[in-house]
Amino acid sequence: MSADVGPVIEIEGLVNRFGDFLVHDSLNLTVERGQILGIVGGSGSGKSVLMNSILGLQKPQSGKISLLGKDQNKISRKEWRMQRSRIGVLFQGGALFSALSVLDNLMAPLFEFTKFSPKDARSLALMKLSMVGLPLRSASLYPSELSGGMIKRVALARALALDPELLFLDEPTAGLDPIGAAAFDELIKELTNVMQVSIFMITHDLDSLYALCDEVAVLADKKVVAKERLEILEKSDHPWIKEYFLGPRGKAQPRAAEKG
Amino acid sequence: MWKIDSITPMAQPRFFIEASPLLANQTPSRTDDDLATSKVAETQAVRLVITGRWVVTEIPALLAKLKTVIKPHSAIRLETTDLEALDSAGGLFLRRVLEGRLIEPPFKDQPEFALIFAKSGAAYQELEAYQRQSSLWYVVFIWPILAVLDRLGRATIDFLKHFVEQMEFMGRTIIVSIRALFGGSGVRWAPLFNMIQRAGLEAIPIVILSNLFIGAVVAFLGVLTLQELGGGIYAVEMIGMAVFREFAPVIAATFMAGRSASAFAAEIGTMKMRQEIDAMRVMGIDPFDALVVPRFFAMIIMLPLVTFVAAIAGLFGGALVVWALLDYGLPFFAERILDYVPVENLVVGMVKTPFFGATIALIGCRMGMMVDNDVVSLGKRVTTAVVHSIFMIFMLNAFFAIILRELKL
Repeated sequence: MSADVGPVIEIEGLVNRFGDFLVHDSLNLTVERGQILGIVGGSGSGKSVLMNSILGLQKPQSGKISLLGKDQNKISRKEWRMQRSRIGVLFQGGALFSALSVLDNLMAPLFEFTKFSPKDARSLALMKLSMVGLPLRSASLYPSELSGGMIKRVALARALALDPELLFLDEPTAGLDPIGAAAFDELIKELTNVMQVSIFMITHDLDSLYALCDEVAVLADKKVVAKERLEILEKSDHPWIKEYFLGPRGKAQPRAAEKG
Repeated sequence: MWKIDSITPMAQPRFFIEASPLLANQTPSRTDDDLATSKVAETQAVRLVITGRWVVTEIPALLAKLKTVIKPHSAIRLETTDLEALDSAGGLFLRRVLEGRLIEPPFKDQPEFALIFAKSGAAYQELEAYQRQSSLWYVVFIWPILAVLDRLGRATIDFLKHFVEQMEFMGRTIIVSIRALFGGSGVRWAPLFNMIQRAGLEAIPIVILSNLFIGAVVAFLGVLTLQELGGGIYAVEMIGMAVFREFAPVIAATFMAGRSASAFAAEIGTMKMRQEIDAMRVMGIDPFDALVVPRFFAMIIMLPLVTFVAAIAGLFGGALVVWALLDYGLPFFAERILDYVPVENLVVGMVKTPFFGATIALIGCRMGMMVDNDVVSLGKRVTTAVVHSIFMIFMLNAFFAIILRELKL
């Protein structure tokens, strides 16, 4: 695939509007290959809408979105489907299929995109399960029987089922306790290091940002107002960014990062 | 995958075996003795050359062939200089096939491949053990009779448990209803009228239409058979009795069961899945009081009314057919009904309807309350709500037929 070089996501002039409410106004963003990009922004600043636009779950009013080097407006049906095997998404609530067991959840993408025999698909799914640090006997459980942390891990395993090139994470540590969240960050870091994926990560967890991200893009005023490394963002003059890093909950973070 | 700058991108994964010329390019400073011994040890050693992209979407086609090719060789050296990509699936299956046959660790100069090979193989042993142990369920096929007995036993126990629970649910609803009516806790009027509107009034058009057709069909049958005996006009009495006593109540109740029992189960079930019921409990609102009682009353109030409308529609359908086949007009039909169909028939029909309504509401609401935290159980419960309530309506109807017969009505 000649698209194996160059940015994984390229967005130019994205406009999203709900009725009279303008969410994105000619937004530009590029995610480089191999990069782990964090997306931050206030509630309602359109982080989820941005992710949905990239994933094709939400049709933007105008603008060009290139995913893995292909313009999403001009992509053919067949190419679009092929691309789906090269991206993985971890939804905020896990979005596991509640009718399927953990094992079947993990095998679903394998059956959809590969021709493995059920036995081979099973071993591959079980391997993914053990890679995310879950005991193999949890394979027969159903999503309703899992704890919040386990759901996240299974969802991550499913997102990684096809060893994607690009991984979308929507609030990966939301709803986890600090220890669980740190462990999950560590897991993401380890797995992405092994599998070599680029990551587009929406998060509010400053610890995650410091632990994982190469760069952070800030969504404010309907645009990406900054996309920099954290050290540079901390010194930014933008009022929202200042508030974010130097506000009551942001202050301790740089120190914690220095210590760690 | 992307890390490798490939000149020929998307190269298909391939592999081939070649006899290993190991000795030629290895350690020249060996004595002849060494050469001789190592020659014996390595005569069977071969090189497995793998090239292209060993990724999840490409390798399934290769696996079986690779296994058969590998089988006779017990000492293998992996040659990977032309390997373009390896993902965790590739790592796992290479590892699985080559386990115990590799004579040296692979990917010496390719750290990223070595890492993924090690990672994906880390769970290998555990995986094998788990897969062996989890195939124990085949026991079921060895003891089919036991399995059937097991199922039967479970089904019986389930049935008894459900019966007791349904009784419990009914008792609780009745107590809460009485408390709402007379105990001062008050009836929740807004949801009650909402339910009367949604479960009752909105069902009327479809109930009218279906009873019209049923009345017409009964009239056809009646006229055709009674005409042969020379008294086609007696069809009017037959229509009146059939519609009042059986068709109007049962058809109306069946429609209400299909419409409302499913809606009740789905609504309450979804509320339960989204923790809304828990929220109510925490606020001190009894879900029985807020959800079940309004539905219970709404069905008890509305089903008799809907049944009455259904009966009129059924008579009208019958009257149209009588008019068409026998040429007696609507006024004649109405007069004959009033004269020859005693009012007891209407009473017999209407007496059953509040019980049907209560059954529908109770089963629908209970099934909603039984929904677990997954989508499949929601679907199952909604189906069960409809099937059980329709079944119960037919059963109750039969009971009523016997009781009313004993009462000479």
